[in-house]
Amino acid sequence: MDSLKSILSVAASGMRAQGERLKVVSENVANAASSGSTPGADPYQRKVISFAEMVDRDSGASMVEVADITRDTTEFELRYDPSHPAADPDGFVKVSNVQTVMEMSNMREASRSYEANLNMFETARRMRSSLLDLLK
Amino acid sequence: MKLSGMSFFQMASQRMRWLGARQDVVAQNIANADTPGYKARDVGAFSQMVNDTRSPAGLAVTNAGHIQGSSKSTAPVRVEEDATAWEAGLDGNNVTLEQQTIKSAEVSENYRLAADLYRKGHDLVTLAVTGIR
Repeated sequence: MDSLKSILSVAASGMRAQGERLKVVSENVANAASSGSTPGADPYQRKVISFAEMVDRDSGASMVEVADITRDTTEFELRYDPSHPAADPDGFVKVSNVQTVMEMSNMREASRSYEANLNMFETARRMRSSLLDLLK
Repeated sequence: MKLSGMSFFQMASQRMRWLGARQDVVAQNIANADTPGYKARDVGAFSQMVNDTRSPAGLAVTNAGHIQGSSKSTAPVRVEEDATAWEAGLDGNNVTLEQQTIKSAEVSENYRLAADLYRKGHDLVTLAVTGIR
Protein backbone atom coordinates (compact mmCIF):
# COMPACT_ATOMS: atom_id res chain seq x y z
CA MET A 1 0.00 0.00 0.00
CA ASP A 2 1.58 3.16 -1.19
CA SER A 3 0.10 5.76 1.14
CA LEU A 4 0.91 3.73 4.24
CA LYS A 5 4.51 3.57 3.14
CA SER A 6 4.76 7.30 2.58
CA ILE A 7 3.36 7.95 6.08
CA LEU A 8 6.53 6.44 7.46
CA SER A 9 8.79 8.83 5.57
CA VAL A 10 6.56 11.84 6.33
CA ALA A 11 6.60 11.07 10.04
CA ALA A 12 10.35 10.50 9.89
CA SER A 13 10.86 13.92 8.30
CA GLY A 14 8.79 15.46 11.10
CA MET A 15 10.86 13.69 13.70
CA ARG A 16 14.09 14.82 12.07
CA ALA A 17 12.94 18.45 11.99
CA GLN A 18 11.83 18.39 15.63
CA GLY A 19 15.12 16.77 16.59
CA GLU A 20 16.99 19.58 14.86
CA ARG A 21 14.84 22.07 16.74
CA LEU A 22 15.71 20.38 20.02
CA LYS A 23 19.39 20.60 19.09
CA VAL A 24 19.09 24.36 18.55
CA VAL A 25 17.30 24.72 21.91
CA SER A 26 20.06 22.81 23.67
CA GLU A 27 22.70 24.98 22.00
CA ASN A 28 20.90 28.07 23.23
CA VAL A 29 20.58 26.76 26.77
CA ALA A 30 24.18 25.61 26.88
CA ASN A 31 25.40 28.99 25.69
CA ALA A 32 23.06 31.09 27.83
CA ALA A 33 26.02 32.31 29.90
CA SER A 34 28.57 32.63 27.10
CA SER A 35 29.93 36.13 26.87
CA GLY A 36 32.67 37.88 24.92
CA SER A 37 36.26 37.95 26.14
CA THR A 38 37.42 41.34 24.86
CA PRO A 39 36.09 44.71 26.06
CA GLY A 40 32.69 45.50 24.48
CA ALA A 41 32.55 42.14 22.64
CA ASP A 42 29.19 40.59 21.77
CA PRO A 43 28.02 37.57 23.77
CA TYR A 44 26.28 34.48 22.34
CA GLN A 45 23.36 35.42 20.11
CA ARG A 46 20.33 33.18 20.42
CA LYS A 47 19.63 30.89 17.43
CA VAL A 48 16.16 30.60 15.91
CA ILE A 49 15.02 27.69 13.73
CA SER A 50 12.28 27.87 11.11
CA PHE A 51 10.53 25.07 9.25
CA ALA A 52 9.21 24.90 5.71
CA GLU A 53 6.95 22.54 3.82
CA MET A 54 8.79 20.36 1.30
CA VAL A 55 6.87 18.36 -1.27
CA ASP A 56 8.44 15.00 -1.94
CA ARG A 57 8.73 14.43 -5.68
CA ASP A 58 8.19 10.69 -5.65
CA SER A 59 5.12 10.43 -3.46
CA GLY A 60 3.77 14.00 -3.67
CA ALA A 61 3.52 14.07 0.12
CA SER A 62 4.25 17.26 2.06
CA MET A 63 7.20 16.62 4.29
CA VAL A 64 8.82 19.15 6.56
CA GLU A 65 12.35 20.45 6.43
CA VAL A 66 14.46 22.93 8.33
CA ALA A 67 14.28 26.11 6.27
CA ASP A 68 16.84 28.18 8.10
CA ILE A 69 18.68 28.60 11.36
CA THR A 70 19.05 32.32 11.98
CA ARG A 71 20.16 34.53 14.82
CA ASP A 72 17.79 36.35 17.14
CA THR A 73 18.57 40.05 16.72
CA THR A 74 17.02 41.15 20.02
CA GLU A 75 19.15 43.74 21.85
CA PHE A 76 21.56 42.40 24.45
CA GLU A 77 20.94 43.35 28.03
CA LEU A 78 23.68 45.13 29.97
CA ARG A 79 24.92 44.00 33.33
CA TYR A 80 27.24 46.03 35.54
CA ASP A 81 30.39 44.00 36.18
CA PRO A 82 33.56 46.11 35.83
CA SER A 83 35.90 43.23 36.61
CA HIS A 84 34.66 41.15 33.66
CA PRO A 85 37.07 40.89 30.69
CA ALA A 86 34.26 41.90 28.30
CA ALA A 87 33.28 45.01 30.27
CA ASP A 88 33.16 48.24 28.29
CA PRO A 89 34.85 51.43 29.66
CA ASP A 90 31.72 52.19 31.74
CA GLY A 91 31.88 48.72 33.37
CA PHE A 92 28.88 47.19 31.57
CA VAL A 93 28.95 43.66 30.11
CA LYS A 94 26.59 42.57 27.34
CA VAL A 95 24.65 39.44 28.34
CA SER A 96 23.36 36.87 25.87
CA ASN A 97 19.73 37.28 24.74
CA VAL A 98 18.79 33.67 25.59
CA GLN A 99 15.75 33.45 27.85
CA THR A 100 15.71 30.14 29.64
CA VAL A 101 11.94 30.11 30.19
CA MET A 102 11.33 30.56 26.48
CA GLU A 103 13.81 27.83 25.63
CA MET A 104 12.10 25.47 28.07
CA SER A 105 8.67 26.04 26.52
CA ASN A 106 10.22 25.58 23.09
CA MET A 107 11.76 22.33 24.25
CA ARG A 108 8.46 21.02 25.56
CA GLU A 109 6.73 21.88 22.31
CA ALA A 110 9.43 20.17 20.26
CA SER A 111 9.22 17.01 22.31
CA ARG A 112 5.41 16.97 22.10
CA SER A 113 5.55 17.32 18.32
CA TYR A 114 8.20 14.63 18.16
CA GLU A 115 5.92 12.35 20.15
CA ALA A 116 2.99 13.07 17.83
CA ASN A 117 5.09 12.11 14.83
CA LEU A 118 6.27 8.98 16.58
CA ASN A 119 2.67 7.99 17.31
CA MET A 120 1.81 8.52 13.67
CA PHE A 121 4.68 6.23 12.71
CA GLU A 122 3.48 3.59 15.13
CA THR A 123 -0.14 3.85 13.93
CA ALA A 124 0.88 3.49 10.29
CA ARG A 125 2.91 0.44 11.17
CA ARG A 126 -0.06 -1.09 12.95
CA MET A 127 -2.33 -0.40 9.99
CA ARG A 128 0.21 -1.97 7.69
CA SER A 129 0.44 -5.06 9.80
CA SER A 130 -3.35 -5.42 9.85
CA LEU A 131 -3.22 -5.24 6.07
CA LEU A 132 -0.54 -7.88 5.91
CA ASP A 133 -2.48 -10.05 8.35
CA LEU A 134 -5.03 -10.54 5.58
CA LEU A 135 -2.50 -12.84 3.97
CA LYS A 136 -2.49 -15.22 6.89
CA MET B 1 -14.44 -15.65 -10.05
CA LYS B 2 -12.53 -12.59 -9.05
CA LEU B 3 -12.71 -11.41 -5.45
CA SER B 4 -12.42 -7.80 -6.55
CA GLY B 5 -15.47 -8.28 -8.75
CA MET B 6 -17.66 -8.92 -5.74
CA SER B 7 -18.97 -5.61 -4.49
CA PHE B 8 -18.28 -6.50 -0.88
CA PHE B 9 -14.56 -7.02 -1.39
CA GLN B 10 -14.34 -4.08 -3.73
CA MET B 11 -15.98 -1.86 -1.15
CA ALA B 12 -13.70 -3.10 1.63
CA SER B 13 -10.54 -2.56 -0.37
CA GLN B 14 -11.71 0.86 -1.53
CA ARG B 15 -12.42 1.75 2.06
CA MET B 16 -8.91 0.65 3.05
CA ARG B 17 -7.38 2.64 0.24
CA TRP B 18 -9.32 5.71 1.29
CA LEU B 19 -8.36 5.29 4.94
CA GLY B 20 -4.72 4.83 3.96
CA ALA B 21 -4.77 8.04 1.97
CA ARG B 22 -6.50 9.86 4.81
CA GLN B 23 -3.92 8.67 7.32
CA ASP B 24 -1.23 9.88 4.95
CA VAL B 25 -2.77 13.36 4.92
CA VAL B 26 -3.02 13.35 8.73
CA ALA B 27 0.67 12.38 8.93
CA GLN B 28 1.55 15.30 6.67
CA ASN B 29 -0.45 17.64 8.89
CA ILE B 30 1.32 16.43 12.00
CA ALA B 31 4.75 16.66 10.40
CA ASN B 32 3.98 20.24 9.38
CA ALA B 33 2.40 21.21 12.70
CA ASP B 34 5.07 23.88 13.21
CA THR B 35 5.52 25.06 9.64
CA PRO B 36 4.53 28.71 9.23
CA GLY B 37 1.69 29.26 6.78
CA TYR B 38 0.81 25.56 6.45
CA LYS B 39 -2.92 24.87 6.22
CA ALA B 40 -4.36 21.62 7.55
CA ARG B 41 -5.70 19.25 4.89
CA ASP B 42 -8.15 16.43 4.74
CA VAL B 43 -9.45 14.07 2.07
CA GLY B 44 -12.88 14.20 0.49
CA ALA B 45 -15.65 12.04 1.97
CA PHE B 46 -15.56 8.31 1.29
CA SER B 47 -19.00 8.37 -0.32
CA GLN B 48 -17.74 11.00 -2.70
CA MET B 49 -14.86 8.75 -3.75
CA VAL B 50 -17.17 5.76 -4.23
CA ASN B 51 -19.58 7.80 -6.33
CA ASP B 52 -16.81 9.37 -8.32
CA THR B 53 -17.28 7.70 -11.66
CA ARG B 54 -14.66 9.82 -13.30
CA SER B 55 -12.00 7.70 -14.95
CA PRO B 56 -8.32 8.60 -14.44
CA ALA B 57 -8.24 10.00 -17.97
CA GLY B 58 -10.73 12.63 -16.84
CA LEU B 59 -13.74 11.50 -18.83
CA ALA B 60 -16.98 11.46 -16.90
CA VAL B 61 -19.37 8.56 -17.39
CA THR B 62 -22.80 10.14 -17.69
CA ASN B 63 -24.59 7.41 -19.59
CA ALA B 64 -24.77 3.67 -18.97
CA GLY B 65 -23.65 3.10 -22.56
CA HIS B 66 -20.39 4.96 -22.10
CA ILE B 67 -17.22 2.94 -21.93
CA GLN B 68 -15.38 3.40 -18.71
CA GLY B 69 -11.66 4.08 -19.04
CA SER B 70 -10.81 1.76 -16.22
CA SER B 71 -12.42 0.24 -13.18
CA LYS B 72 -13.95 2.41 -10.52
CA SER B 73 -11.53 1.20 -7.90
CA THR B 74 -8.87 3.56 -9.21
CA ALA B 75 -10.91 6.68 -8.53
CA PRO B 76 -8.52 9.21 -7.01
CA VAL B 77 -8.79 10.35 -3.41
CA ARG B 78 -9.25 14.09 -3.33
CA VAL B 79 -7.14 16.11 -0.95
CA GLU B 80 -8.54 19.45 0.05
CA GLU B 81 -8.00 22.09 2.70
CA ASP B 82 -9.59 21.17 6.00
CA ALA B 83 -12.44 23.60 6.69
CA THR B 84 -13.03 22.21 10.17
CA ALA B 85 -9.61 23.11 11.58
CA TRP B 86 -10.05 24.21 15.17
CA GLU B 87 -7.82 27.24 15.42
CA ALA B 88 -5.22 29.25 13.58
CA GLY B 89 -1.92 30.39 15.04
CA LEU B 90 -0.26 33.74 14.51
CA ASP B 91 2.02 32.26 11.85
CA GLY B 92 -0.94 31.19 9.71
CA ASN B 93 -0.67 27.52 10.64
CA ASN B 94 -3.97 25.95 11.64
CA VAL B 95 -2.91 22.40 12.51
CA THR B 96 -4.06 21.32 15.97
CA LEU B 97 -2.21 18.26 17.20
CA GLU B 98 -5.16 17.11 19.33
CA GLN B 99 -7.55 17.23 16.41
CA GLN B 100 -5.14 15.33 14.19
CA THR B 101 -4.53 12.72 16.89
CA ILE B 102 -8.26 12.09 17.21
CA LYS B 103 -8.52 11.77 13.45
CA SER B 104 -5.61 9.39 13.29
CA ALA B 105 -7.08 7.12 15.97
CA GLU B 106 -10.41 7.15 14.16
CA VAL B 107 -8.80 6.22 10.86
CA SER B 108 -6.75 3.47 12.47
CA GLU B 109 -9.83 1.88 14.06
CA ASN B 110 -11.80 2.06 10.85
CA TYR B 111 -8.92 0.50 8.99
CA ARG B 112 -8.88 -2.43 11.37
CA LEU B 113 -12.63 -2.76 10.94
CA ALA B 114 -12.34 -2.82 7.15
CA ALA B 115 -9.49 -5.33 7.27
CA ASP B 116 -11.45 -7.58 9.62
CA LEU B 117 -14.54 -7.34 7.41
CA TYR B 118 -12.45 -8.31 4.42
CA ARG B 119 -11.14 -11.32 6.29
CA LYS B 120 -14.65 -12.26 7.43
CA GLY B 121 -15.89 -12.09 3.86
CA HIS B 122 -13.04 -14.32 2.83
CA ASP B 123 -13.94 -16.79 5.56
CA LEU B 124 -17.54 -16.84 4.33
CA VAL B 125 -16.46 -17.56 0.77
CA THR B 126 -14.19 -20.34 2.03
CA LEU B 127 -17.06 -21.76 4.05
CA ALA B 128 -19.40 -21.66 1.08
CA VAL B 129 -16.87 -23.42 -1.15
CA THR B 130 -15.47 -26.05 1.20
CA GLY B 131 -18.13 -26.42 3.86
CA ILE B 132 -15.34 -26.50 6.46
CA ARG B 133 -15.07 -23.80 9.10
